[in-house]
Amino acid sequence: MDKYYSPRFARWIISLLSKFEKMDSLIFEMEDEYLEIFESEGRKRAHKWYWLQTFKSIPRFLKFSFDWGKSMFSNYLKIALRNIIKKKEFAFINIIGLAAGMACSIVIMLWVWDEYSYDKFNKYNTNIFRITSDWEKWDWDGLPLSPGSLGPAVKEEIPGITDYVRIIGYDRAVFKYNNNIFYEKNGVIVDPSIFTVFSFPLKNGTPDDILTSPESIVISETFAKKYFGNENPFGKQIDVDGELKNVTGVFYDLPKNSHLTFDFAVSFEFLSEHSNYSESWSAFNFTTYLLLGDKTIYDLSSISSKMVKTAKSNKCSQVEGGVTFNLQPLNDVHLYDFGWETNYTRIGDSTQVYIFMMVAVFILFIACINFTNLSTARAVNRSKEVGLRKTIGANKSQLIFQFIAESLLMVTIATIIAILLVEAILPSFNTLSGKEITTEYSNPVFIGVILVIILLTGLLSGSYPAFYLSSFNPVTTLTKRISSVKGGSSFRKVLVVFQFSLSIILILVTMLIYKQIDYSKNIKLGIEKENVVFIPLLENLSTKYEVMKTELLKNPFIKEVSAHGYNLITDPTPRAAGFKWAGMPEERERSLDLIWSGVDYRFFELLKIEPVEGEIFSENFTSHKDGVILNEAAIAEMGLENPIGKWITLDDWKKTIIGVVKNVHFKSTKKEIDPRVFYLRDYSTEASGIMLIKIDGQHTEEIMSYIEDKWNIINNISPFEYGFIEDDYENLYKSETKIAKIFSYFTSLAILISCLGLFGLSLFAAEQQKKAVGIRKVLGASTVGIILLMSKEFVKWILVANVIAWPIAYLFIDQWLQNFVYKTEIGILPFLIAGISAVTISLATISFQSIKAASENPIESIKYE
Amino acid sequence: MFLLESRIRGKSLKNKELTKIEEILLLSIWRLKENAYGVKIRQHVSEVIQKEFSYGHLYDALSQLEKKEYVRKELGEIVPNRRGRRQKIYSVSELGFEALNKAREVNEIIWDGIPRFASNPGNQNG
Repeated sequence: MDKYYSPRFARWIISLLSKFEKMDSLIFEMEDEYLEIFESEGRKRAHKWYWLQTFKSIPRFLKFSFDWGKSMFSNYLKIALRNIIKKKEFAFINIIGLAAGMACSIVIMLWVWDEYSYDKFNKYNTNIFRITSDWEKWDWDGLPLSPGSLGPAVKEEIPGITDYVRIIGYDRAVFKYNNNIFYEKNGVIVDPSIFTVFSFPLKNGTPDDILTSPESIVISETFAKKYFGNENPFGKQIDVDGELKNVTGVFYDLPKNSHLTFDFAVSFEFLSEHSNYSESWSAFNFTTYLLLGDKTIYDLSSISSKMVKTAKSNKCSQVEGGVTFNLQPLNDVHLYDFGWETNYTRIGDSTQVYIFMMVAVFILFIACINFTNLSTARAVNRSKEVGLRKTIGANKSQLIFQFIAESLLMVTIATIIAILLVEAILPSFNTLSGKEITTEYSNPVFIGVILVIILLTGLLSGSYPAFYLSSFNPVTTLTKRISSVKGGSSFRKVLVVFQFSLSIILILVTMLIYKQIDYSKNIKLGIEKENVVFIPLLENLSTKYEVMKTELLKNPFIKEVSAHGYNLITDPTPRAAGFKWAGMPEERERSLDLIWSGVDYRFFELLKIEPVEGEIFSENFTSHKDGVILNEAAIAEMGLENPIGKWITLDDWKKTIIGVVKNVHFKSTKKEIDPRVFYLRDYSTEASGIMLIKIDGQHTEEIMSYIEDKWNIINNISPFEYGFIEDDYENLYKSETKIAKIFSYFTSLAILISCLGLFGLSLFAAEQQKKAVGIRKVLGASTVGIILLMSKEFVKWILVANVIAWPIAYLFIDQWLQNFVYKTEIGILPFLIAGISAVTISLATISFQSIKAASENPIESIKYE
Repeated sequence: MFLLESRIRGKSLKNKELTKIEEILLLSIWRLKENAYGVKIRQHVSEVIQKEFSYGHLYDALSQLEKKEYVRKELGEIVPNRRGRRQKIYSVSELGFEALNKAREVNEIIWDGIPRFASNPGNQNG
């Protein structure tokens, strides 16, 4: 009976296209006509006709199905919107919770994206590499330092190297133009090729003409505005540390997402005038970048070995001693740097970025779990409606689509609100993080990610209740009591527990970060840091130090004046290796590294550093000029007993140990205390470093203006500048404080979202159990008793969440604390606090509902049966 | 909220003008009377427009007409050679006749007094 004669393939296409209602007769009709034509004009003609029909119909069918889909879609949408409006409060809670979570996630992801985008704006970013050196002996891998002659030599001798750029920091200097005098510390000495290798466009000047002589200087646009105002600085002269330099170029401010940052640049010719570092093969002072040809970038290891060969042939002693070179891709520099701080680089931390990415995903996850939870709870309350629909013949897929459409609609609304929130938060976030993040609606990746989030969230959180509900037996849903429809509640419990576990973990982590910061800030430093002012000394004041000191000491509120060779807290530590001392064991492999500290008399008294053995520098003993004082760390490193009186040498330099002092924390608690050697330095001839002044804390303002006056008398070139070392100590933990702040925001958000979820759930639990509660009341239960009963379940879940969260949080915290040499103990108190707060917060959240339910008139609740 | 509600209910598709193919379809359906089912309608229209009218186009246009409520669909008799199912017969509805009358009026107005054009389209202003 059902024999088809028409061409099979074409018929198959038609059957596909006609998969819509009211179209099922199409196959038959076409078959009939086919047979007509077959009979009247033969098989071939019929075949041709059938195929022609198929082809002609395809576009029409596509349009038809599109229209049909569109009307079905708008139908579902209408119903979805109606349903949402029906239960406004629930929808509001759900949407706001999701929107908040999404907004947070998006902001974090934008930040992560920014971190990964560093340096990618450079046209040749895939061809630029930084030379790093590996020092096996000291276990330093990836140090971005190389000798000054390496770059030029490599360009000449190794094929495939198109260009090189060398860069080194320029010491802080005083700049003066007309009445603008400021200290500037964001300067570099660099090859002009930096402006062609990197995409740093020049506003004035051409790469070939800038930085050609020792007096050349190029400045950034902002720098130009600061000193020259609206004048064109090109060709003018500016006073730098007393010498005139010619502005041969102006460059546009370097982009914020470049790892290189500087305001002015000076030429290598200048450096050559003052030292031979740039031609030396043994001074690893420079960072060198290479621009490789397109083919060469695949050949990195051979280039590295060629560089080693070149260095060896030029008698580079370090390379002969085993140091090797490597090439680091530009795009890795920002996140995977050795940790070598300079004044011209912006370094990020790949671990930190990774952590934040995880947090973003976590928060989005919590928000989605919430959304799903609430949607499901809401759906269960509509089981009657679903049962009804099924009895009148709605098919399963229609119901599923209905729920998914509702979900998608809510998710879309939430996303729109989320984007508005992001726009609102972004300015303050940028201030907090120091970035310039913008939403890029024109970037397809950005839009794509948002769409993916909408789809995933909507589909996943919509399909769970959808599939769950639409598989109900209509009879049972219509007749059974609502309160006995449990199913799926165990999954929901798991979701809530998971959410709270995450929140508790975040609470604990945040608490511990603050605890560690607190510990670091309050740790016994070994000095008295309060009321100690420091003033940077400048080289042009060589004879004035003693004068200044005498004048200052005349003031009764100034207790002590001394000096040190550099800022102990903020400046990098000058280290020297290869010390030897009396009684040094022969077999000792590791050479001794010590940090230099050149001090003036009264240094230890000023800072109240405690002596352990021997003496501290005193003017009464001329022998002290040949003496040195070591700290405990140095003695421990040397393993020396009875150090007093023993000699210590480094090459030509030889001194006697006259004393030992206690260790002092000069750096962050992340670092070990360095072994130090203190020696007397004559500040009347070499006035560089800082002058330290201990003042009476009661009269700070008075004293500061006194000091400023004295300064201005002896020096009319540089502006007066000072600092308090207690502020420098505060700033040591700036980044940790920032992280702590950010984490506390996250934690509040996570708690908020978890509570929203819990609140909604309690809403429905209360509604579900209305009848049960009513009956209990009639039987004589008290309001309090009922509240306790309803809360019992929830509290149980929260306790379980704690049990899960504590070990995980402990692991993370322990791991993070490994970064610190001096760390606080974790202790049991934070865990107790977190646990109790979690229980309290959740009880408060559900209390609204449970109180309302418990105090309702039981007659009202039992009425409908 | 009221405004939103009425917008949600959808714009009315009624009282829209007939497209040319819809006009041809309705008239064909009317002519074919009780034979106005898929195959016959398609064949008739193909003859009229002198081109192979595709099934896709046919059903697309029919569905549009149904949405506008210009045609009705009824189940006809069971015909043995049609594999035991009942064919769907289309007929023009009241609204459909109104629409046709309107289309005719418009046609008559714009064609009024214009003689048949000669084959060579040289003379536009006659």
